[in-house]
Formats: sequence, C-alpha cells, structure tokens
Amino acid sequence: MNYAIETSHLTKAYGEFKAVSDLEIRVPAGKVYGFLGRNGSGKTTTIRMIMGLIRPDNGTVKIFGRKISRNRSEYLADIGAIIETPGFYPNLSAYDNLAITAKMFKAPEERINEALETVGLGGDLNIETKPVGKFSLGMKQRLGIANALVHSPRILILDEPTNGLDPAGILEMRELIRHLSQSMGITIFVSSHLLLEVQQVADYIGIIDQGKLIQEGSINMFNANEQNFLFLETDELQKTSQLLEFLGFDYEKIDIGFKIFCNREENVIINKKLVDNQIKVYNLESVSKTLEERFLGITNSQELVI
Amino acid sequence: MIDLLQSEYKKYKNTYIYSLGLLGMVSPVILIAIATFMVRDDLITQGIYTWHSFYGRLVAFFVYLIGPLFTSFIAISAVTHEYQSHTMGNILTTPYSRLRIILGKLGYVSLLVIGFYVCVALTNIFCAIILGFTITNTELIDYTSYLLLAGVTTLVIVPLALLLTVIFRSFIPAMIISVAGTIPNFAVYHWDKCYLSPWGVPEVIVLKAAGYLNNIDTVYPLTSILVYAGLFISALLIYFHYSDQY
Repeated sequence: MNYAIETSHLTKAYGEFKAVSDLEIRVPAGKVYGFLGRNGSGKTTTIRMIMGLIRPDNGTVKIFGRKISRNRSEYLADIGAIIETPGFYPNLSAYDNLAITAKMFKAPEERINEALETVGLGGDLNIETKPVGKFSLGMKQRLGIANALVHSPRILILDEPTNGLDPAGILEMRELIRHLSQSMGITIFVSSHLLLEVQQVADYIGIIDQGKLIQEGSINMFNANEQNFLFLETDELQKTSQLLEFLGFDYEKIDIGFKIFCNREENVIINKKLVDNQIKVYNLESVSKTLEERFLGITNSQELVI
Repeated sequence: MIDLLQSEYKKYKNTYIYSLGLLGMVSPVILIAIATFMVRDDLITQGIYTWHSFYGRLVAFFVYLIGPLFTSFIAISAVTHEYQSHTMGNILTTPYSRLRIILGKLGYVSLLVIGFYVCVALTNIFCAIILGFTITNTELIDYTSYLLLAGVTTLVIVPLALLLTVIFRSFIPAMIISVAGTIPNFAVYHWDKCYLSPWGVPEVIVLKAAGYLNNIDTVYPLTSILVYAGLFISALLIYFHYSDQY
C-alpha cells in the first residue's frame, strides 16, 4: 500500500511533558484518515511536526515515501493545510487572500476560481470585494479549505475543521471532505475530538491519547459489532432478575426491562435459560458500542495500564 | 524572490502600515516647513534663513528621531500583521525556506522604507520651492543624496526589529529597543560620540565614507558596529539553536 504520510518514532517533549511519544502512523494515499484524540492528546503537535512548523525531538516524517528534513521544504508543495484556525489577511478580499497563496505556491491564477468553486463559494459576489474580516466563521472555514486547495495539493490536512461550526456547517464540511476525497483523489488527514464526525467521513482511523497511538486501522475494523449491552424485555421482571443474578451477569433494571452487560455469544445462553424457565421474551436486542464508547474504553484502559 | 516581494506588497493593502508610515515620515518635513514659514518668513525674504538652515533642522529632527522610529514601526508591523491575522503558519508552510521568507520580508520592508525616504527627499525639495529658498544644483544633489544615504543606513534597524518581533511574538520588546536605541541618537549631534547610538553608527560610517563628515575618527563607530553585529548574530544563533521551530 502507498502511504501519503508515514511517521516513525515521532517524539516531541516540552520539558517533562511528552506531547507526542514514539508515534507511528501510516496514512494511505487517496483515503480519508481520521486522527482522533481528546483535547491535548497531541494531535496538533503531530500535525505541526508533519508540516515542519516544529522540530521533533526524535523520529522522522515521510511524505509519499520521501523523508522530510529541516532545509527541504519543497515537500510542502504537496500539502494544503488548515492548522487550528484558518489564517487570512482581514484587510483583503477572499480573492486577494487566495491570490497571495497562489503566488507563494506559484499556482496559476485560474486555480483561485476553481478552488472557490470546489468549496461552493464560486458564485459569491462578495468574494472579490468584501474583506475577509467581515466573513462568518463557516465561510472562513470553507475559504480556508479553498486556500489550502489553491495549489492542487495531493494531501489536505485539516485540524479540527468543524470547530465552532453550527450543525448545518458541520454537515457541509462533512460533504466537502467526502467530495474532495472521492472526486479529486486527495488524501485527507482530518484531526478531531468529535468521534461521530470522523466515523462518518473516514476510511482509516488512528486514535491518539497522551501522545501515543492507541489504535490504527480501517474504519470497518472499528465498526465491528462489539456489543455494548443486551436489551431484554420479559413478562416476569422479578423472576428474570433472579435468574440473571443466579447466572452471574451484570445488569441494570430499567422501566420496561433490563440492560445486560454481556458478550454477544452469551445472548444465546440467556435466551435459552429464559425459555427453559418459562419466561416469555418480548424483546431481545443486541445494542452495539458506538465508536465513542469504544474510544473511551480504549483510552480509559490505557490510563489504567499506565 | 519577486513572488515573495509581490506577496508582501499585496498583504498590506488597506492597512495603516502604508498610510501611517507615509504620513509619519512626510509630515515632520511639512510641519517644520510650516513652522519655518510662520516664524522665519522675513528672514527667508532677506536671504538670511537659507535652505541649508532649514535642512539642518530637518536632518536633526527627521534623520535621528522620526526616521528610525518609523522604520522600526514598519518592520515591526510587517511581522505583527502576520501574527494578528494568524497567517504566519500559512507562510511557513509554503515551499519557501525560512531564510528566503525572512529575506523576502526584509527586502520588502527595506524597499518600502527607502521609498518613504525618497518621498521625504522630494517633500524637502517641494518645501524649499514653496518657501522660496534659493536652490542650487549642488544643494539639491547633496541634500537628496544625504537623505537617501541616511535612509539606507537606517535599514540596520529592520533585521533587529523583525527578529525581536518574531522571537517575542509581540511588538512591545522591539518597540522598546527601537525607542531606547533612538534616544542616544541625539549623541550624533556630537559626531565624535556617535558610537553611543546603534542607529547613528552605520550612518556616520557611510557619511564619512561618502565624504560628508571629514573630521570624524571612525575607530569608535567601527568598533561599535562590530559589537552590535556580534551581539545581534549571537542572539540570532542562540534563538534558532534553542527554539523548537524549524
């Protein structure tokens, strides 16, 4: 598999605090990679090291197989990025801001309108006249992506792109990411602490916590039906409760039934025992863990290990 | 490099950097001209108060005080504008090396400052015509070239102001150093004490080399500039060695 971004033993410490520790991530080319982690887990530090904005204490970064180094910034021509908040000159119009970026990357001026079209700002009359300082946050985010796309990069790095956006803005951003990946073949590296967001756009996921990579893999691996609990509804609550206690299952009584915390394989045993004890089963439903519950499970268990 | 200079030019459109910079540089000349007209009109008519006298006052006020301060202001603004707009990250993630980015900014600010000095020199001539001074070709060439030379030597402030603003990510330390460095400029009135002024020293050396200051010993100014340069380069190297930035 071709990797757009690869890091090896990437480490960055600030005094005693290790922001990123021995990080090894592999971002497959042409895919959307969701980089998940809580606030302060090391996501932005990792991105800043990939972009050459801060110097790693140890480790290497490869972009399309080429190792990046201090005095070789040419690789940045392959990358478009928004790190934290998109930066614009507030005194200039959106078009002028993009023109500066196009000039810096030696991109043809026609690319400005193409990039604006891509993010849905093509027909906007304010683009050439209104100063960016007067734009809404949602528009600035879209403009940020246009700015990152103006030089036709092969990799797009988005650091928390939905921060501060309203639900409609989040939906637009999600569709834009999918569109960029599917129709333009751009590798997208999107960091977020919003698991649901990443789950809906990413092909691959890497989970970082306390600067360390906890898990990495295809979204399908993360979407496997790991059972959270079994929901059970019967005609005899008292008898069911006694049976569950006898069988040694953890459970929680709710209004109309039970939440039983067991493995998927144990559902069969519970069902059989209920039938054997002549308890009528109205509802037996396996409820899967959301990615969020799994993520919290992963990061919490990591904390316990430490 | 041309791309970088063009980008720098665009960035400051509609900002106070161009307007305030130009106004700050040119207005002292105009104010001195107005004051001269009000107080010395009769002396000008009698030919006692000449362009040379006017120019002497202008140099004292402008070259050693206003010029260095506004040069610092322009250099500092060129960096703070990036921080305020959150665009520093954008520039540093372009395929240009850090050195080229710094040289681009340095080059553009220097061109802008020299442009403002040209405006000052032209305003000086314009004021001389308006006030009715007798203007000789020698004076015209001498005063204009002196002002432009002063402008070029003031550029010594630019890298220092840029570096301090980058290091501290604030205009305050650079502005304090600039003001502190400008105060000893008054020592340049006594040319032999010019080595006290970091901004005055290069000017004295260049003016001496150009034959304007024949009675000055260049040992102290040269020693001073070497010390200043040594300190600046040491600070630069220490910063980039210990900084976690590329």
